[in-house]
Amino acid sequence: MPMTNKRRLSVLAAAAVAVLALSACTGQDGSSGGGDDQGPRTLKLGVSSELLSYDPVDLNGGGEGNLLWMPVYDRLLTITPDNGLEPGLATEWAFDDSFSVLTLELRDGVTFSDGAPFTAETVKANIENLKASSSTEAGIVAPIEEVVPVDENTVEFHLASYDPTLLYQLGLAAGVMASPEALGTEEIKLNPVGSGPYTLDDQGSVRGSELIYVKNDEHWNSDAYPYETLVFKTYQDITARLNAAKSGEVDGAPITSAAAAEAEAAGLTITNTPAGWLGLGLFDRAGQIAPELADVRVRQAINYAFDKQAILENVEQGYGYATSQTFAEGQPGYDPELDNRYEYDPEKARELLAEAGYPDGFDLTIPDLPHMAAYTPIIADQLKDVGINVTIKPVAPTDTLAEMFGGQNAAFAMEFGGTSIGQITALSTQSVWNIFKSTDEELSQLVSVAYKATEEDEQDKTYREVNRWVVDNAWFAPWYMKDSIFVTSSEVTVEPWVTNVTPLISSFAPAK
Amino acid sequence: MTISTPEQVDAAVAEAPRSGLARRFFSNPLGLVPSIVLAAIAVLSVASPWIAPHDPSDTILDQVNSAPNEVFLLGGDGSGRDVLSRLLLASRLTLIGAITVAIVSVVVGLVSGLLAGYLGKWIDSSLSWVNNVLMTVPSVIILVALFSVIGPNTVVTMAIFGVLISPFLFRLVRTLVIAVKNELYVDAARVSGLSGSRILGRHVLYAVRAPIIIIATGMVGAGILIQAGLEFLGLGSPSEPTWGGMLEDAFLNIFRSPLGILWPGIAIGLTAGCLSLIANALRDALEEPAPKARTKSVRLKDEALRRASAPAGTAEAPPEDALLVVSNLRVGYPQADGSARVVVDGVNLHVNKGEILGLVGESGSGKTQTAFSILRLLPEEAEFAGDVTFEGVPLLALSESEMQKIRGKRIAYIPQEPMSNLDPTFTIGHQLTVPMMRTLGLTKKEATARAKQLLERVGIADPERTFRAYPHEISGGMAQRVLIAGAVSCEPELIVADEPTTALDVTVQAEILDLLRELQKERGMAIILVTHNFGVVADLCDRVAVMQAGHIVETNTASELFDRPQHPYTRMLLSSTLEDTEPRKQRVAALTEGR
Amino acid sequence: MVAFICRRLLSGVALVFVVSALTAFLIFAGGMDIARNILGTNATEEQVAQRAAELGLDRPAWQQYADWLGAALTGDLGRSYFSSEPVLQALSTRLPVTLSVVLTAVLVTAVLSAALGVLAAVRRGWVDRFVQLANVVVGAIPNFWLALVLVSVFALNLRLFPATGYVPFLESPAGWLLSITLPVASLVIGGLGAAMIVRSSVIDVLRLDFVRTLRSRGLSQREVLTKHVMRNAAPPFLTVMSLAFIGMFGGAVVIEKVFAIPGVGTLANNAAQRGDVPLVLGVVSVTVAVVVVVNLVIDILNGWLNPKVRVQ
Repeated sequence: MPMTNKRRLSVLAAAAVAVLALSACTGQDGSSGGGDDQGPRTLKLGVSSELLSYDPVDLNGGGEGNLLWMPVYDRLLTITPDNGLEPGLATEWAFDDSFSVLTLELRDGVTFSDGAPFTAETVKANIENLKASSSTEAGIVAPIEEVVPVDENTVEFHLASYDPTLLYQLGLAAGVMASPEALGTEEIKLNPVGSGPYTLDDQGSVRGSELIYVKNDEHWNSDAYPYETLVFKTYQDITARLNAAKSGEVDGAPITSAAAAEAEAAGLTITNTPAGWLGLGLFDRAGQIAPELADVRVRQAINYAFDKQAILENVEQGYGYATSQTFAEGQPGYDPELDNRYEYDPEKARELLAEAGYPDGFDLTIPDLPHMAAYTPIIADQLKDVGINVTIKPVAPTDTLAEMFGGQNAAFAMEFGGTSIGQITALSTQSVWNIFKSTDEELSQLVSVAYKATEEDEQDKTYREVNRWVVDNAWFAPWYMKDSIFVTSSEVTVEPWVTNVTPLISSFAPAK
Repeated sequence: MTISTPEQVDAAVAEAPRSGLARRFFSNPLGLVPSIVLAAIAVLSVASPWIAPHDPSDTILDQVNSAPNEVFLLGGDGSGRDVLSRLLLASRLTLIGAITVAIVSVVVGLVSGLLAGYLGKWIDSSLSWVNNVLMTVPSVIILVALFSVIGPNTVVTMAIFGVLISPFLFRLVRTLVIAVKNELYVDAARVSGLSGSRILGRHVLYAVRAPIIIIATGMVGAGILIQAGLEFLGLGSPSEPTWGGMLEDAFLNIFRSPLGILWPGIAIGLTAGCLSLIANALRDALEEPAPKARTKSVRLKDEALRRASAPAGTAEAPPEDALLVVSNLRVGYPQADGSARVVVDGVNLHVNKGEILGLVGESGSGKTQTAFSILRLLPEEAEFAGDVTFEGVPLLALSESEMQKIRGKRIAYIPQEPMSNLDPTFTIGHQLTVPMMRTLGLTKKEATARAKQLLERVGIADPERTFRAYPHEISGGMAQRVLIAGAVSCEPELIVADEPTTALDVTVQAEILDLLRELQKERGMAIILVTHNFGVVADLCDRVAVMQAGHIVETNTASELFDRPQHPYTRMLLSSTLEDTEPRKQRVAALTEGR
Repeated sequence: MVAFICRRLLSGVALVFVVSALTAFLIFAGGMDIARNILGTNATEEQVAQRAAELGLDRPAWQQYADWLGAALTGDLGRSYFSSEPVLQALSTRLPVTLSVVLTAVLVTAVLSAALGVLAAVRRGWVDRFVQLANVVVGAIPNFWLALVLVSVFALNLRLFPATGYVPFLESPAGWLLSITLPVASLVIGGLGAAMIVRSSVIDVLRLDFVRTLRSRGLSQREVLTKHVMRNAAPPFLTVMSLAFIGMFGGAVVIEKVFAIPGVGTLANNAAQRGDVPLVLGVVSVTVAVVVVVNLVIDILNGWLNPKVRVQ
């Protein structure tokens, strides 16, 4: 049959070409002009996950979340990129001689975004709200027995026990101060009511994809924040995140080591810092479900079994350094000698296993945690080399936390960041990270001494004792201290935040 | 001889779906090759634990995200495992998922379809409703949502997917069961010994086996893609290698190992592609062998058609003033093997002005093909040769647009089956008026008035209502009147009427014949009346041409023919019309042998 | 016609009810540790138990389901367990994103597959071979894989389109067009198999008797094709488009991941992995509702095109 609507089709084709041409033109316009329209005073950052709630009790200190809530909430103290403490909402702080009372002098004239003033009563309300909550941070303020407002601008924390991490924590989520009016409401989960250097632009923001913060010019330290507007865009996948950074859709983003070379090739600046140790957590130290792990020689053998340097180089592209300890370089308690305590030595591992009575190895089940998917097969394979037959147990993403903390697994791949004192706290039977509630009298003794150390030298010395004990007893099998990597465009400079995944928001500045 | 007789071809086509299906399927390279590839994938998959070059969970640290090399032929993944070995092993879970989808969807679709179709009533309506529900559910979103309950379990997930897509099969089976069941009621008397449900089961299962394979193949392909998609989202089995999971890993490491996304992509594409090709080839094998598409059909090019046997029958010279002269007309259809199936083989006939010519023969004798040749309304793939001259105009040489001016206005057509010859989506009025506006250049108003007059003329009681009605709102007899009105609407000189009364019941038949006769007298039109019914011929025709197997075997005046039939075939036709009992095929066979 | 629409709407409401109830029940009975997921890595068992009690997760499944249903019937789909964002609000920001991508993709698919299918049916030749080949090829390529390839070629190498993200239409129509081009393209290419359906339904209609009869009246092939054949071939085409819409809605879940588009799919995937029950239920109910509405529109179109349907 002869065709009759040829002409119509060619018109259609012409239209399609026109649309393509049009989009191609605007494409070039868009990409060249995109950076300028909001001016250099806007900082756009890519993040991998959204912040689900602004309720102070839902905030916590780890991961990227800091970047998203620190702009809107002042803390009692301010943390510096090298983990030092500076005045925040508290201008001065001091313990009494017995370390049972912490006195804070509060900043005057601070108001929350809802207009409520910041006073000693506010501190009391916030700490009590946190203590009463089921939040994970509640444990941190648990030692604060009572909050006593002395006057408008002075508050005392009466402590049941001394916790050396308390001050540091008051610079993180536990020290977040929100308007007492908003505490405990549903609304605050969506709209933060803080006194931070920025406020959330609720109208402009699209939850789950783009958060916009506008500068709060009233803020007491306004000068420290050079950007008028902050924009946070969520890209869950590293590919999308790096693409966004490469194409200039964002000025900076955390990336993985796998993407680092590509980012560098694209002209992005890489900022890296050791963020935390990565390796195998050996939790069942009393052998409740994996009896073999009760023998320290077995745990040591496992430590010897990993070719840490090779894993570091091949999986992380060398971003980090191999180590056998959980304390990071440059932090109090770090002992350079411990980095090589368990140098890769499969022969030695087999010997130790034989000594422990397992010349033919044994069976061990480890969960395939989705966020550690790349590492678990390596663990299994390397342990198999020394005779430990590892079964990998599938884990649904929804069951991840239950598998980790439910006491069902004797060991699993883990990544753990934070300061030295954070590492020490994780050893306590109170900590969720002490999954099988392992105890040891010698360790407890060392820890309680370390807790009391206030001077820097003393801290370094006592922490080192704890560190050495943990490494010698092989409570973990760290492989290396892994770097966090943050890329920035040429428009932005940034300073890393040691032992953390992302920089502090105050560390970003326009490039000169 | 490469030409098959129409009878042979008919028999072949009728037999084809049964015996020749497998042969036809495998002789098609697009069926054979994907089947071999798929079989190879299945074999590799089953044998993967033994043939994989490496243990798929073995990690080699300097092979993390490596490019293809001599150790890892397709490179290493994000944990330093062999991509090739994992690809091979991953095919197992994919195939398990695929088989699960196939089994679940076929079982659920078949059983529910049988139940709904056979039991009917509320069971049918509720099952149909459930299936409509399933059809409208976005399966991926449901599977993602249910992931929070099911967890990463490929078999359960794919089983649910199988249920979600079973409606495609349910609909097919249900329709078939209902069709077979209705047939059973009609023939219930003949059924003895076997229970209805057994016959039903046998009938239906026999009828649906090929469509089931086609549909299931499609569903399995869809299942493989869905499975890969879910795995890519991170909702797949975390411990066993899967293609989608490998894609996810490759996606994470796309910057270090850009080739990584290629291999699982190819594996998925190859498997799903083969399934899709197999389904296509199966469908082709089930259908009649596709005629080769020809762009030019007016000129006879086919060698086989040109070598057609010499014209048979009486070649009586047409009178000078004949309205239409058909001489040496041949019509053929190209076959898959390049030969032609000749259905009209050298036909000569003529029609005088105002004359009614009966064209008689059995179905398959080529009479309808001859009629369509005159109108140049043969299917696209038909090839034809010879001459058709209408008032001195050689119709076969006209261009389509020239022919278009002849159709309707000078030669019109009355079809056999009234309902199927009206477009169900337009009103009767629309279908009557538009041709008048196009061919006669009437305005819409004029055409409307004329259409209503015509409707009245052909004996429709309420022309206004019928004019506004849709075809499904009128009876078959009325529809045939409408079609006659349409045929005469543009005052043609010749009407080709193709079995105009066959589809109608007896009382209506007589009325329609009366109407045709009246109109013919009134307007002086010539009519070619194609029919198999000598009663109609006797009633209406001036002259008769008898056709058998593509030839005109006898032409004569109606009275002569009835009194003194010359050809044995004519005699056979006449006698069977009178007796109307004996099975025809046997007679024909006897005749053909005797010839 | 009104009765017809009412009947369809009613059946649609029942559909939304049944599907969401089924999902709800499965999830509530599923026994996930939702509270643990909410509280994160550092929470103690006591804290987990406390949060579970707060959310009523310690009650029997049917009771939780009944509560949800009661609220849902008054138009309250609850709040996210995690962000406390009202589910309706969460959906109202994500649904337009997904719909703008999916509906655009369906429209483009409809136009392209109709044009290609009709051409293939009528003209045969290379268009026909192309359509048949495309049917096999696109049926075999996972659309998210295609999306990956499109991103690396058109966004990263040629830099014609943004690699990721979504720009609302109201913010910048040109930006919107650019941001959805690649996602739409990946969906459309995957949906081109519809051309094959158009092709075969046009071929089927062309074989119908009335086509010949209309031509015998002197109508041009073009008129018969554009008016009569198209209209008669429309119902299967519309059915395919409604299935394509459902399919693309699901396909968008994966596509959104590749392009970092903040749509319903991303929401659903995150909510499912997190165990955010109210969000999961909300997404399922609203998605089914959208499908019901789209199907209704297609049914009405069908009824308008084919008078027989209206009567049935």
